[in-house]
Amino acid sequence: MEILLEAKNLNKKYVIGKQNELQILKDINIQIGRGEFVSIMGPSGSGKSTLLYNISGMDRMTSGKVLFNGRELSTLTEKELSGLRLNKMGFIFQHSHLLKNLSIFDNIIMTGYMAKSTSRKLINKKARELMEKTGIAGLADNDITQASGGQLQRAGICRALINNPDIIFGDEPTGALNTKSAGEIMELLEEINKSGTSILLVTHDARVASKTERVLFMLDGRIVADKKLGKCSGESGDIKSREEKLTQWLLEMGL
Amino acid sequence: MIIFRILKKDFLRKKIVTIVVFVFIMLSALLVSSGSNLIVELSNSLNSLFSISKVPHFVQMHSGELDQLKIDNWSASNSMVKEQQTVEMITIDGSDLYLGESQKPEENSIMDISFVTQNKSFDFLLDMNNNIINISAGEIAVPVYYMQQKNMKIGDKVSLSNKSSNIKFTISAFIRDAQMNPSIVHSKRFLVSNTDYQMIQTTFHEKEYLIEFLLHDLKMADDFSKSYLSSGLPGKGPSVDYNLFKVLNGLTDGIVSGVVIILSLLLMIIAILCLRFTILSSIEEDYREIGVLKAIGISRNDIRKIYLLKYAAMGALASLTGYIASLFLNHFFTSNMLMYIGNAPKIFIQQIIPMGAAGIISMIVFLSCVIILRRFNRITAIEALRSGNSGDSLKINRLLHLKNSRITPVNVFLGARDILQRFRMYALLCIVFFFCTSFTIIPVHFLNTIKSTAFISYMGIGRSDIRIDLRQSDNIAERFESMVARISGDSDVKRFSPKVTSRFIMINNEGAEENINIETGDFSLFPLDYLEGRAPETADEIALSYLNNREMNKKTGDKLMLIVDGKNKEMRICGIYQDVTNGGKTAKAALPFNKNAVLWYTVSLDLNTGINAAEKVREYSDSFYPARITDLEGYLKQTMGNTIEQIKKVTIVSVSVGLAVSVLITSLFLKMLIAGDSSQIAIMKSLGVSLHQIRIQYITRSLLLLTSGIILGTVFSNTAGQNIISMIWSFMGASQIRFIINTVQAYLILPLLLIISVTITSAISITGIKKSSISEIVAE
Ligand SMILES: Nc1ncnc2c1ncn2[C@@H]1O[C@H](COP(=O)(O)OP(=O)(O)OP(=O)(O)O)[C@@H](O)[C@H]1O
Ligand SMILES: [Mg+2]
Repeated sequence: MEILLEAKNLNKKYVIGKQNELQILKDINIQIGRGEFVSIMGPSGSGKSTLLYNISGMDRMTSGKVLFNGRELSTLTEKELSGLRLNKMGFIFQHSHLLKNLSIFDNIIMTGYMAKSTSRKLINKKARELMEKTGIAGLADNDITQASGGQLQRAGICRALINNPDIIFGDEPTGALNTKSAGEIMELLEEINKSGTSILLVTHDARVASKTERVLFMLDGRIVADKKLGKCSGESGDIKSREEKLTQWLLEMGL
Repeated sequence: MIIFRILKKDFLRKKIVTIVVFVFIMLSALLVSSGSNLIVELSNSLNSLFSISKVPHFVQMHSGELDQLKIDNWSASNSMVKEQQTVEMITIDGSDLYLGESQKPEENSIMDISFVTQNKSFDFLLDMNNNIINISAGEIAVPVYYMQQKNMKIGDKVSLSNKSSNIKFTISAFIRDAQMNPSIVHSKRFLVSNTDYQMIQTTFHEKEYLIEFLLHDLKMADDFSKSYLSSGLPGKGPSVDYNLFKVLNGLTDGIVSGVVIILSLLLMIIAILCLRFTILSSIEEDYREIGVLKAIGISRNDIRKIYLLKYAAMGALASLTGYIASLFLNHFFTSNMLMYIGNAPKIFIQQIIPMGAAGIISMIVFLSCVIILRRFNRITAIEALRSGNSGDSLKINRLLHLKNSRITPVNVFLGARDILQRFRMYALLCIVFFFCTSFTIIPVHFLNTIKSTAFISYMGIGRSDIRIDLRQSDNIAERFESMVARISGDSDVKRFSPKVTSRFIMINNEGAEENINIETGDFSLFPLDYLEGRAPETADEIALSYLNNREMNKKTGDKLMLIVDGKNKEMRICGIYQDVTNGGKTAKAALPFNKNAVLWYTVSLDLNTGINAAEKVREYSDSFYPARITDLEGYLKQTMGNTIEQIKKVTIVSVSVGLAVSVLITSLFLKMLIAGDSSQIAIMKSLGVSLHQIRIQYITRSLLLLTSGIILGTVFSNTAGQNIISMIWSFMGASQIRFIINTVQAYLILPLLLIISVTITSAISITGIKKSSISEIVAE
């Protein structure tokens, strides 16, 4: 399998006060393949979000290497990093984080317009298609205050997809949703993954993680386990057994 | 206690903005106290100067024969007259007077110089301590105007010399002359001892008289002036009354205090706008907290009181500080006045007026806070808790959706769109820029206007290169004719226009006969700016000066009955112009002049290009002696020089304040804006929007706001600003001013200065965007 994203001996320290250092990530080594659907689990404070920010170039690592499509992130300028995130990566957050002064539609197309890879007309068309697919076509001109949490999360997904990224990062994208909405969002992500986009999710929810093909377990700044579940078939029986297997595993890991 | 925790937090969080608002209120209080102090001091000192020197209520200047007995008889029989005195003056030609060590005589001076002795019963000439000057032989007292213009000191020499004699004096005092102090009055009196006066008289023969009256009641001055002018008593020269003396003396400092007070009001408005912004953003940020307070049962009123207490205390403290600071700054504004008019002890009420003015500023600040804080009433606990957002955003027009933009760069679009969306917040910055622009442009316009040669037309003088004044002397008519003949034959002269002012009789509103001084000639060559109407063209048209017209209470188009050659002639008033020369009460008509009562002659002329005006002035001064030749540049400088200096001071203050305020507010505003937007900025950054692009959004905002502020400010300055200045100018009996606009300064340099300083400030301020780290905010 072709490797899309790779971290080698990734370390992240925060300097607190004058002397104190706090090491959040300790010698992380991971490889994410193109088209892979991976989740990260672990107790609160173990460094999951930090890992996500560092391998996506949002935050600068302290030492180590991150290779994305073979390019080393630490050698890139701030502007090149931004360009990379804009064109090749998509992000979904726990609280959708749409820009509050733009309509839902404008939120989706903004990064598309900025990328300048196709005409604005085509971007608009693509956005409409995405909204159609995610079931929020009727909300285009709404303010972000005029939509439910689940709907906003879908808008966030549309935004992440507008530039056809190679990978989508999600930091607990279902964390703020009820079971039903969370299930729908996961279905969407599975579908996106099927079309070839890699996805890396941070989650606390075993049911969510059980839908991914591989689960990384973080503890105290290290990746302590890497469990391959294989592609999910989507049959209800399969889902049940994967979920049970994972829960069992998590119990063994002490969560 | 939770309430004090809020206050403390509010101050710490808003440290800079609180300090800036404090400074603005303080500056505003400072300027308003200084301005009102100047007004109080001015009127107080003027009153004191006028009462100590016993300024006459009516003065008729006269050159020519004088029969004192006739005047005495008339005065004795006139019930309005309290005292009469005739001042004899030896007029000295500037070319015979040498001041200080200067080897050059005062030949280019526009001043009418005369030597006098101290008066006996009133119209005293005072020294710099407002004491009546006593002078001994060999000593001289010199008008304060020369002390300032020529930097003269006690002990300096003054000499009078012509072909036959040379007399030296030592300066022993400087004169405050309530009648002739201001530079705008073109007569100056030098004081010498009686013995020296007798001696000068033997070589210098030209005499002029001031026929002066003290009345029982100042209110009768107008009636008295009419009865004097129609009495047939000597009157070859202008007449002036007490009120005009006052106006002329207070002119310069009156304008300065007016401008200073207007500046302070503008600053106050800016301070209140900032306050509004601060309070509203505090409330917005405290929304949750306020909600919690309400939820735990602290009443709305309690919360409002906390904020009110804070801002009222701040306003009061700032005003007080401003007032105290003004005590130190006052000297900067009053120094000119102190020199010319002097100082007088103030009574208690006068002491507290500047303090009261500062107090009013703090009251206005307080009331504004009360109004702004009304908003608290609209917050319900649930609303505050749920949204954490005061809902103060505008619904956006469809056209402003990003999806409808075709070509505008995304970041410029987003920057501009945000302005419309959060218009009420951005309006603050726009208004501040607007005020700052007006702040810098209005005084600059005014300064340029007053410096321009066109300005003299507001003083009643047509615009020309050279002006020749010929006053009463022997054979004046022949001299005038030969002068005109000489000028019309001079190939250096492009065009010229002789005018004669003579006395006519008119029938006033009560049907009585009254004298009126009318200038006759061709008024099309060197036109004046008319307040209303236009110059007389036909023989039955007459134009009146503003003061004359105000006294007669007429409008353009009204009729006025004149007596010309013994017959009644009905004239139509065709225009009103402003005039501060010759007592301000003049008229113009295209009639033949009255040969029996000529007062003075003037010739205005323009030179061909390439002809040196100064040389021409010298040439004419020699040939046309004793006529006075002035080039207009010099005239303006000598007349308005002092006022221009004072206005320059004010202009420097206001341009610096305008720039400083716009820089301060821009950096503050952007800082607060960026802090408030930090989560939005972090989201954008995480999505791959580069810092550079985000900065473009913010720079777009401040430049768009600045540009609209500048445009509004420029338009305002050129329209309303003109009216404001006209209002101040009406101190002078003239009421309207059209700005003479220096295009380069007003439309290029000043806006550019603002744009550059605001752009630099914005560029520096938005470097703060970098610091907000994504993980901190997105992870929240
Ligand atoms: N800017 C920072 N400075 C110092 N410490 C930080 C900073 N950001 C995060 N941390 C610390 O790093 C550790 C890991 O944080 P991180 O947000 O990655 O945890 P997480 O695994 O995502 O937790 P959760 O499941 O609660 O989201 C935490 O102990 C946190 O306090
Ligand atoms: Mg996290």
